[in-house]
Order: sequence, then C-alpha cells, then structure tokens
Amino acid sequence: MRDNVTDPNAASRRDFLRGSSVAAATAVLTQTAQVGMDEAAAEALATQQISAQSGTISVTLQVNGKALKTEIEPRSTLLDVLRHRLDVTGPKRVCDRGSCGACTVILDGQAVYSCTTLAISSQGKTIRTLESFDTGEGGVPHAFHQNDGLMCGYCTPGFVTACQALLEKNPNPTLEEVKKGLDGNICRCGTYVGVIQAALDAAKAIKV
Amino acid sequence: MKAFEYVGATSVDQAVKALTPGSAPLAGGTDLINRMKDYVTSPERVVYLNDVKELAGISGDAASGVTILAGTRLAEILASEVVKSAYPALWQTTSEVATPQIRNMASLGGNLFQHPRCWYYRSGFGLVPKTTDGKHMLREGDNRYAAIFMTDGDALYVHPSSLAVPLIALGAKATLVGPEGERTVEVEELYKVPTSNSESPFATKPGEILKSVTIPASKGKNASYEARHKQAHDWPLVMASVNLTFSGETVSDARVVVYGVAPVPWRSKAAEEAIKDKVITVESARSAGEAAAAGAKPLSMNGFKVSMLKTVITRALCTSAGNKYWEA
Amino acid sequence: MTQADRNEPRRRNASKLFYGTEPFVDDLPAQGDWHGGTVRSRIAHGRLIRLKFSPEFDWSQVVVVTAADIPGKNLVVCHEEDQPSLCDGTIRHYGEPLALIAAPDGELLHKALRAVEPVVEPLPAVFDPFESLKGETRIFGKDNLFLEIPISKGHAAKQFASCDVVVETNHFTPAQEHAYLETQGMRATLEGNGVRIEGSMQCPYYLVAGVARLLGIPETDVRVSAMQTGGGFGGKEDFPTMLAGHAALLARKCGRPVRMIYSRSEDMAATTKRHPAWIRRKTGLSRAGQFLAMELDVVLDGGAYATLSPFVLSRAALHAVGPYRCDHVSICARAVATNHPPNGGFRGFGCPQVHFATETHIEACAEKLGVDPVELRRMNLMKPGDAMPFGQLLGPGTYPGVVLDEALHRSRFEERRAEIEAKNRTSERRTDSGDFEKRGIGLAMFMHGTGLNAYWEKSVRSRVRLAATAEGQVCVLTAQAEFGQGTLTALAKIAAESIGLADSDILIDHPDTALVPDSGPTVASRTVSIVGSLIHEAASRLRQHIEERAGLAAIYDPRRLKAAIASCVSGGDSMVFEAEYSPTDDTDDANTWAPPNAYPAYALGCCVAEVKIDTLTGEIGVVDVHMICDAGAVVCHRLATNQVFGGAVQGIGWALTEKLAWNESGGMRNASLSDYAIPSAADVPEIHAHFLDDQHSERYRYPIGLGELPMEGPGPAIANAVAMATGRRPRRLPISPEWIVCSQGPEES
Repeated sequence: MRDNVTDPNAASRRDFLRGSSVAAATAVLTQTAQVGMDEAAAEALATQQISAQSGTISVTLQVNGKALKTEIEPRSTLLDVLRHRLDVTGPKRVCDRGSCGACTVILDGQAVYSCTTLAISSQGKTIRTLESFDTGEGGVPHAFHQNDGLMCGYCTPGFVTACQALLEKNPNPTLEEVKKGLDGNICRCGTYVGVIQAALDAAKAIKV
Repeated sequence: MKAFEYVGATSVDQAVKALTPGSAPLAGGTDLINRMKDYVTSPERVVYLNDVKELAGISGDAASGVTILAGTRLAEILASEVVKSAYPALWQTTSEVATPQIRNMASLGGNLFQHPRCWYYRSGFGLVPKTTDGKHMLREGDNRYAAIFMTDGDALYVHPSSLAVPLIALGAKATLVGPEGERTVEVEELYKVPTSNSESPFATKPGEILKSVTIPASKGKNASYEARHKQAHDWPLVMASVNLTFSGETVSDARVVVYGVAPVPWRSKAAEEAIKDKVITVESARSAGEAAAAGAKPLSMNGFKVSMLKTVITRALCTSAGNKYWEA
Repeated sequence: MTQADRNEPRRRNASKLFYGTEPFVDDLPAQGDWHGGTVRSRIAHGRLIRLKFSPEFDWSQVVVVTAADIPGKNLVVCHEEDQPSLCDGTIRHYGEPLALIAAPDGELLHKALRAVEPVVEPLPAVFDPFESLKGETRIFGKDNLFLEIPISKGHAAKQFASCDVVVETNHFTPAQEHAYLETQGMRATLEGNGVRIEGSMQCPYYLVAGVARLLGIPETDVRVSAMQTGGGFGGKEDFPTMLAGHAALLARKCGRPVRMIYSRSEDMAATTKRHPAWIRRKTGLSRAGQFLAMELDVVLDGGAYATLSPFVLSRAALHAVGPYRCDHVSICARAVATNHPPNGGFRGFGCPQVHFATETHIEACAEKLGVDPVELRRMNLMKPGDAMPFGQLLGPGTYPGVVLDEALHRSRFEERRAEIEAKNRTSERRTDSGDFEKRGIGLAMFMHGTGLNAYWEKSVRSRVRLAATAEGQVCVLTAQAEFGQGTLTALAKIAAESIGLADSDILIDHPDTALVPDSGPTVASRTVSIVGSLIHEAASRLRQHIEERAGLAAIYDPRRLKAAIASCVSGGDSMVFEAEYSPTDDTDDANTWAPPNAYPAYALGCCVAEVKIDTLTGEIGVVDVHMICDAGAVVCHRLATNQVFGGAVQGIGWALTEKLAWNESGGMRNASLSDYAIPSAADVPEIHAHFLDDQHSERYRYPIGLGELPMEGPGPAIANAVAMATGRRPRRLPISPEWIVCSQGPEES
C-alpha cells in the first residue's frame, strides 16, 4: 500500500521505457504518446516531486449529506464504491460505459454518470443520489409514482435523479427541454410518456 | 480495468510534470475510463486534470476572439453567450454532443483528444485493424460507419471529435503545454493519420497537454449541420461546419470542414473553392456540396455517406445564410 | 386518457422502486458472497482440447468448475436435450460457456478469467441457415433442422393456376437484443442438502427443474426466489436456467454463496436474441381482391442449440397468415441450427416476424391489383367462425374488422393519407428548391394467441393458491414474476375483485417456490389471462366457502367479508383454496406444435404510424403512432397503457435503430449500449393507445393477454409508411438512413 507517497519510481519507470516500447506503442494511444522520448528527459521528469496514489486508499466521500469513510483503489469508479462499499444501491449498473444514465448521481450540483467517474476524483465534492430526495408530494419521486413513470424500475433511479438535476437548473422546463434534459437516460420498457409527464408535473409541484 | 497510480493535479505545472511516459491525462473520463475498462488503453498512471482551476473558463469576446481553456466542460461552452451568438457553428455542435450528463462531465480537451469509436479499435485490433494474414478488417468487414476519403491508405476509421470540426472551420488555434514549454498550432495540426498500429493519431509531443483553444474574432458567418441515425443521443453520421467571410453579398473566404468522412476532420478545399465569390443560395450551396463529393472513394458499405456529405454541406452553408429551408 | 384515469390501484411496488429501496439481485448486501464468472469460447465452432491455466496466477485463491465437476446431467433443461451447461468438448457458438470461476472479489475474478486460455481446434462454422440446411457442417441432429412445421389447408399449389394475380415477395427481419436494463444475475446459496437460488428471472419453476437435474438432487432440495427483475421481454425465460445452474455449481464447489452478475457486453454477446427470420410469401388473388391461395416459407435462425426455437416456430407458423381468410394455404416453417449463439424468446415470439411479412406483402398485393390496401384487408379479414389454416375457428366476438375500423377512425387515417399524398406531390415539384421532406402513413394488423399453445398449456397443469390470514386478508400465491408488466398489481386486483375484498387486503409478493405452487412460466401473455382466470376460480371457491359459513350477506360488503374470513381462520379453518388449469377442449395429444384449437383466444391489434423522412440525409422520424388493442377485459388501464407504449417503443427500435452487427465468429460485434441503439425519449413520438374493452360482449369479460401484442404492429406499419413516403417498399428491417439515401439500395433480401 502506497498512500500519498512521493514518486519513487525513477528507476522502474526508466526500465519501463526501455523494456516496453512495443507494448506502449501498440496498447497505449494517448496524446502523450510514449514513443520517442529522450531517456534523459524522461528521467528528469520522473524524478520531479509528484504526489501519486496507488494500492488501497482511505477516502471520505460526502454522500447525501453524510461523510462516509471507505477504502478504494484509484481505479474504483464512483458507482462501484457507492454500490459495493457504501451500500448506496439506488444508482444502477446497466451499460457501465456512460451511455444509459441508470447510474446518474448529482455531483456538485451536476448530473453525471457515476460509472465513468472515479471515486478518488469525487473526494471533497457533494454527492447526491435519489436516496436523499424529497419523498413528499412535492418531490420528483412522487410525480413519477403518480404518472406510472416506470415499469421494471431498473432505469427509474437514474431517471428520477436526472429529472431532479434538470429541475434544479431549470425549474420551468418546456416539453422540448424535458426531452433534451432526459436524453442521457434510457428506458427499455419504454415508459417515456409517463416519465416526461412526471417531469412536467414535478416542475409544477415544486413551484407550489 | 488494470490498476494504475493516480495523480490529482491542481496546476498545469504539476500536471505536466506528472505526465511521465506511460501516463494518461484524465478529464471528464467519458472516453478514457471506457477504454481502460475495455483494456484498450491501460496506462501506468492517470493524471486527473479536471480539478485544475487554471484550465477552466472562457474569456474574450466576438470582436477580439475567444479563448476556451482545455478543461472547460461542454455544458459551460453551451452556457456561454458569446459562443452562442458569435460562434453558432461551435455552439450548435456542442449542443448535439452526447447527453446532458456527458456534457456536464466532458471537457473541451477530452473531446478533441478522444479516441476513434471504430468497433475494431474498441475490440483491441488497433487503428489499422488487420487479420493475421494481412486482411484489413475494416476494408473487408463491416465498414458502414468508416471513411470515404483517404481510403487508399490504411486508416479507415473516422475522426471522433465533432468539436474539432467547427473549431477548424473557425480557424482556431490550440495552445499546448509540455515539458519544453508552450507552443501554439492550428487545431487541425493536432491530428495525423497513422499508417500502422504503432503510430499515434495525435501530432502532439510526448508529455504535452492541451492548455487552451483560441478562436479568432468572428467576422463573417458560421454554422454547422449534422445528420444522425437516431434523433436522440448518438454520434453524427456526417456533419459539416462552415465559416464564411463576405465581401458585400459574395463569399470572399470560406472554410468547409466535415465530420464522419475521414480519419481526420476533413477540410474540403473543393467545397471552399466552389462557394468562393458566390452569393449563398440553395443552388450555390448545393454546387459546393457536389464539389466536395468529387474525390470521395467510399468502401463497400458506406456509399450513402457521399450523398449525406453533399447534403450536410449544402445545409450548413444555407444555415449560415439564415435559410433553413428544410425546416419550413 | 379517460380510460387510464379510472380509479385503479397504483403499481404495487412502485414507491420502493422510486426511492431505490426495492432490491434487485445485485443490490443484496455483500454477505461474504463470492463472485462467479464464465470462461467463454471466442470461436464459433470447434473442439475444446483443454483449458490452459496461466502459471503466473495463484489458482489457490479461486475455484474452477468444468464439465467434469457436474454431479448430475450436463444439460440446460429445455425441450430438446441438446445444450450442455458447460462445454462437453464441442464448441458450437461464440461465447459458449467452457468453465466457471468463483473468486472472493470481482477484481480477482477478472484477473482469473483473463488467465485462462482455451486451447481449441477450430472447425468450419456456418451462420446462414440456408447453407446450414445443406448439412455440410453438423450442428444438430442429422440435418441441422430443429423442427419443421408443415401446415396445409385445401390445395394451394393447384389453386394458384386459377388466380387472376399472383404476388410473391421475400422478407427478412433481423435479430433483436432484449437489452433489459438489468443484466442476467443470479445468486446461489447452499441450504441444507440443497441450494437456494435468488435472482432475475421470469420462470422460477424452470430453474427448480434445471438446477435439480444438473446437480443430481431432488427438486424438493432446490428453492428458487424470483426477485424484482429489471426487464425480461422473453430474455429471462430460458437463459436463467443456465445461469442458476452455473451459480449453483460454483456455490457447491467453494462452499459459499456465489453471485453471478453479467456485464453488459457479456450479456449482449452470450444471451439469446429475437430469431432472425427469412419469409417468402406468395399469394394468389381474384381480380376483385379475394385471397384464393397462399404459400409461405418461414425460416428461423435458431442458433447453435434448440432452446425455445420450436416454440417460437410454432407460434410463427400458427400466426403466419395473420387475421385473414384463405381456403388454400400451404405453410412450411423451419427452425434451423447455425453457429450463432442460440436465439430465444422475445416479446411477440415469432409473431412480429410473420406479421411484418404479411402486412408488407398485402401492400404489394394491393399495388399489383391497383386497389386500396385498406380495402384489400377489409375484404379478407376473418370473422368469428372463419377457419384458420390449422383448423381453429375464430372465436365468438373476435372481429378484426372492428379493430381496423376503430384504428382508421381514431387516426383519421384516410384523411391524413390524402393530405400527405397531396403534400408529397407538391414537394416533388419543389425538389429543386430543396424540399426533401417526405411523409408517409402506414398501418398494420396483428394478432396474438393467448398463453402457451393448447398442448403445452395442458401439460403445464398450472395451479394457483389463495391463503387467508388471521387478519382476514388473502395471500395470492402464484409463480408469476414481476419484471415491469405489473404482475403483482394486476393479479392482486383480479383477486380483490373476484373475492370482494379491498385491494389493500390482498397480499402478494415476488414468487418463492418454497411458498407458491407451479402456475407455469411468466411468458406468452398468460399472466392475467390464464393465471388470472385461475385466481378468479380459486376466489369463487373462497367466496362460496364464506357464503356457506357466514351467509350470503357477508360476501357483498368488503369489511364484513374480511371479518368473516378472519373468523374462519381463527376458528381453525385452513382457508386455502386452489385452482388448476383444465382445458375445456379436447386437445389432440399427438399434435404438439399445431394443435387444432391452438389458443383459447386471440388478442387483436391495429397500428397506424406516420413517419417523416429526410430523403437526403436518410433521417427517419416517427411522428405519430396509434395503437388499437383488443385484448379482452383490461385489468388495469394505467398499466396496460404503459405496456402498449412500451411495446410500441420496442417495435420502433426494431424497425429503425436496432441494428445488430455480427463479428467474424458469429458473436455480437456491437455488444454495448453505445453501439446498439435503443430508442430514447427524443425518439419517441406521440403514442395514442386505445383499448376495445367497454362493449357488452362475452369477449370483454376476461382478459386475453396484452404483454406481447403491442410489439407486433409498429414494424410493418412503419415499413408501410416509409413505402408511401419513398415509393420503395422496405423488405428488411431495420430501415436505415443508408437504405433511404441510396436510391439503388437493396430492396430484396
């Protein structure tokens, strides 16, 4: 476990550069293309003071108003940590590639896909899931209930969350704005008619 | 996803220092994290840039030009009044990128440096996917969504960044920062065409990241038009951005750039020539579209893109002239 | 709207779903579960020589299960006994399970899965069913034919000679991915001598039989609990049997609970799809437009194992002619083995395919004759008492013509068609000035026989049970799973109304085989129709019992009834009432696949779709859809309306955006929700749902089943609308921008 240590990897990084140019060239295609770098420059860079984290790391995440401590790895996604570490199972894993919206959470006020957000990057930010929403008659979930805006319920947490985020930004959306605002979520049962009506009704209810 | 070490950069200087060989910069994560999950990209180190305050924001105005810092989220670009009024080509394209959630997460830099969507590439066969006996998987296989220009070469995928298209049309310049300091290039110079799987599609130097994009003053008119498969969130099939300056009623200078037809944002010099010294009408716009199609060499399954190419150029030109005849 | 506004119970478990508190299987707390995964083939056909386990991985951290570890029979229990649970030496499709691994955590599992390399000897693979029928590559039996169903009535071949007009067309409909949002997921726990299964499924008792046979233990030692299931659409009919078996094998080997949750790409690549279908249709007509003779060939790509293919084929064959009358019909329906992953049940179950062919073929017939396709339909639609090709008479009160008329009326079809024709003509003239928008309107009839076919419905012998509590409430005990159709809400409502209690006094939950009798699978639109009628029957017994004990007055007031039930229970009455399915007709026991009285009733539908097409970009937008459904009594209008919307949306996806691409090994290439495009909110037009259910006819006293019906209309209706807009008839789905734009594009399959 190496938590918040200064990069000790000068030597190994140099070996990496020598030994794995093929792997680097074929497998990794980032704009910081790894090929052709002068070794001296690489070494100079690698010995700079950089705070890198790896292995298992203790973090505190602000979820639904509570500071929750847990252990993660740098590669852990926010979705995985919420579901498997913090037992916040509202957000669902569906596509796991940022294209269906079932894992939507509100991060510092913005609806985001938690499956393509790293938990480690979410430290110090406010994370909200549907578990924290108003369960009364003025809340978004109630409007979904009234309009039967669900069938199997698997997309539902994501839709409710995306709708909540939409209304926080735009409390008075038009039909077109609702359609566009909920365009990041998919429902395979095809309950879009109820979902859209729920969003419009929730906007009214919140204003009252 | 393979394990990696993580650097949460808080300054550009720190980010550049952290981006040692084998590292990948991470912004919104909407592309890189998916590639890591699919083992297409497995960096040793990930350097997170979205918390770098000095990389986010939009400054300037229509008269002097606008600078958008690389970490600016797409949603912030959409919220910018100056982008909306002076650079509708960029604004329109941004509004059509992916979904609200992705626009909240994704940065300008991440959009410009995303990797191709080609499904052979995403399945681990590289950008020039060939079978062990040397057959080109895209040329011989399912090439519906592949390129129709530059198809004599081996890079047959299409360039994935839709924002690069209006930015190139607008003549934007990119400022890169790396171990050797800063340099500024045309946005189109960020890209190159690989001839094998060992080459990068990016013309950046090792360790460089994008710092900002500067769009010159808005002088004429600009617009974008895209055609897509689904009405809802999807990538465009073909999209065009145009930027025109006028001398009186006639076009004195034109830039026409197309998405979805080549492994780089495709600058159609032929269309630019065709519309020059013309007044924008449906007929002159269509002639420019026809001219653009002249050199196209589609593959076995994507001839339809030639027709789409003509149409999106025609309509982008007409949009710039305020004539959205197809919506009538 | 008024229909849905009736005072009806809300969806039963809805609030738990909205607040995220109704657990799906992967929401269960960790409980020390190990994570199970599957080593799969990456080739389509070949011999599995051995599995190479990387020496760099420490295999002591995990458990591995291969076919050799199976204590019972290496089989996925279904109709044919051809599919092994784990590869038996021959690989027959991409993604076939070769071995299983369980590990204490997900990351370690992934590492282990990547450290196994199957050593294989590839064999030639065949992906085209017509190639497969040549038999050069052996996949199933002697001839790669899972099943052939011939249906013949009259003398079609002879009759063609005397027809004025003969029209022949070929049609192709593609595979479709279920894309239920919750991937397949199952948890197995050792319990006593046996095993407990919890998970995502449609048919809990299928799993009981499957796991018992695989482990070689009595069925009484297998307990299956269906959880809230995140969509099924037929995709969780047969496949969960395999997954439950896998989880049970792993749990047995590692001695701990094992959870297997498929990733999206694994689910898309390895599980079943809608059968691709090739349909040739030939019709002979009189000058006046009467259907005189028909010949139909239906070929389904069944994939590498039979799974549900015979059942899907049977339904396709029985519905092949649609709701039309014809005295001379010859049908040849075949399900063929290929090296694709097995195809299986998917909402509509063979009907969407044949209705697409029929309803687009009729338009071609009308064009040839120069008559209005609506009139051609009307002239040939069946009436009660008309015989179908396999002998069944259309039941009393079943009027396809009334459904058609209602659809024409509600959609203002003829008026809209005339307006659009006029507008398309104008835009023709304006093409040079740049107006490329074309509109079109199309309609399609469709029908769906309720329940399993008579032979299979009889063999299931469904049973339901009602059990009263000391509080005077009644538990409804059935094996029906809830995956969005509203099972719990609808069955509870049927019970409440049949017994005479308030809806809140009915208790119903997800089925657990330790508690519920086998009321058959949750498939075939049979939940409210077949199982609902059994609940009604059991409820009548309960009422009769109360009437005998407490007098007639007690059963007409819900509060007095509740008190009477409570007093019976506290008085020591067991108060358990059952009902068992007994077919009223004498079914022909020899005729498994085309019994003469195939279904007790047929639901009918008509879809009208209007499209807007940009002929230069190829973009197709569906702007308006009318769905007229005649499915007998509607139990819950609100939920039924949602079903119709949902079916229509899936139909739109199948027609326009859902293009499945295969890789070189016959697996799904675009196995992600980024690359396989299902409709989202912006793709969905205004949908108008209307039910024919408020008439005073015997037909509308009972529900006929609605789950699958609405999926079946939009495909052909949209194709007919596109034909009107473009002047070209789509013979294949999905209709892509590519096809619209390429004026010389392929019309025929």
